[in-house]
Amino acid sequence: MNNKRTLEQDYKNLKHLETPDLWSRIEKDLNERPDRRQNASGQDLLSPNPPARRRHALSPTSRIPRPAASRIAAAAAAGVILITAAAPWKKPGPLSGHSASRENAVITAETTMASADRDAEGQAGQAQETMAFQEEDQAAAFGPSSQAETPPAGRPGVVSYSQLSLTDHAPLTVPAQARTMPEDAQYFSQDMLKGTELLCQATVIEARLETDQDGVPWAVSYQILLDQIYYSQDYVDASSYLTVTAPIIEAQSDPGAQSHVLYQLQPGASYLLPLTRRDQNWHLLCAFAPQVRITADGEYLFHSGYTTLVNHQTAIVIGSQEGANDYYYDKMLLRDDDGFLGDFIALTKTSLQ
Amino acid sequence: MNDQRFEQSIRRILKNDKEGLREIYEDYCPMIYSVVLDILKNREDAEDITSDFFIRLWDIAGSYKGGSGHRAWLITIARNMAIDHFRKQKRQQPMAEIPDHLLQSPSPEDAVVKNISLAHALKTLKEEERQIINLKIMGQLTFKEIAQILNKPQGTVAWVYRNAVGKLKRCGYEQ
Repeated sequence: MNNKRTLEQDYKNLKHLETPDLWSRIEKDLNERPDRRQNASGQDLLSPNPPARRRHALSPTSRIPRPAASRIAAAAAAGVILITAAAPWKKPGPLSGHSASRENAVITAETTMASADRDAEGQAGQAQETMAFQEEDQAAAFGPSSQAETPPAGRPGVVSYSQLSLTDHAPLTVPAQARTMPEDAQYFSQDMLKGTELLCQATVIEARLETDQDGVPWAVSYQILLDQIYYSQDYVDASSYLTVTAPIIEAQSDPGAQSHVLYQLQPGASYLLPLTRRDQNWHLLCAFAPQVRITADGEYLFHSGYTTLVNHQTAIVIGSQEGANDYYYDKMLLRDDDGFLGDFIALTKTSLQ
Repeated sequence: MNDQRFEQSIRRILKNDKEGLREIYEDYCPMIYSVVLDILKNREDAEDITSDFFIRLWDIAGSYKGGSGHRAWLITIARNMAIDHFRKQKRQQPMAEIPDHLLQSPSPEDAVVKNISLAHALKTLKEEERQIINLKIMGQLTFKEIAQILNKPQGTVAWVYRNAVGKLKRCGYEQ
């Protein structure tokens, strides 16, 4: 037993002895399943972009698939993401102040277009790189957004939240003793996307507070269902569930009124989520800003920090101010054109390079 | 099973041929089961997740990229499934109730003396050491692959492995 090299063999033997025979169980499960969609023609599915991994083809005129109604109904839901409280001067952005927001935002949208155009041109030549982009061919198919288009007739420049297909906002109740993070702990920058380890479209199944041993909440965790995966550094499969953690964000600038405000995802809603992984756990990459939300009508609601994503078809979304220092109420934008997804993937890809 | 044979099995799966899955199962069930058991520390749960793993493999076979190190691919998927299961379970029961053991009562075959000795020797290892030993021996992974899976520096992995082997050596084993 003490001979050299017996450890490896003994270890294997031990593990083999410990392993139960599960084949009959597996086979039974397989037999009960409907036939998997297969490539009966024997096409090579071991290529870098196997068809089984591909999202169904989206043409420039197609729409992103809506989440199943059952999923939407599964939970309470949502309205707009944030209600936060930060002084308008605290985080200087393109859209500051309520009264001037509409005019300023239009100017911002137009001036940002130039840089968006340049970015799009640069991205067009990079389509075949980065094999890890599982949907890369689709991103290329989307083309460089729709920057050359003129605003469609009748398209409102400003819409209100009430016009969007969003469910009611139902924030989690956060006890006063919760361990929170200040909302300005991290300012949003598109450059943050370089930390993306998983870019997906996901439906939020459940939101809950994580508590420590003493029962004190310290984070929010979301169970999400991966609807689509656009980029992954790891082997993660669509249709699987993930638990994603985010800090509890406190709006420090508005004590009393909104003492604890969550930049939280809404159960039942779908989002485009850049995620990162630390210590074997998934986290929202940009937890201190609203995530890109997909309305029930397939429109994309995003904040003005994504300057590259602003084009001529971008509408400004304005809601009622939730608090005296509500920062994001006039900084949300909306795109309903089919180029958004491709633009977002391209932006992420560019950041990763 | 080498990469070429693995790819052949995957191709059979993609043609709805269960023998393809069976081939992979026969070669890798002990590896997957031990990796999952290392995380869950519960035989029943490990059996469930191992079964689910092979069902999932049937579903996602098309996502395998040829020649990309199939053992690391399999282990990464299995670990993710086990960790996900562990998190859900953890949510349902206090930490104190999660059993803190690795290897439970020996199976009848453990009457083989040296295997009992090894099982006991393995209990002297730390959690991290057991995982690395398992990935190295059962998964036949390189230190680099293990480092990527466990998200640890390669040097640390190699050091922990050597340290663990050293402990086993003191228990009567050498490599």
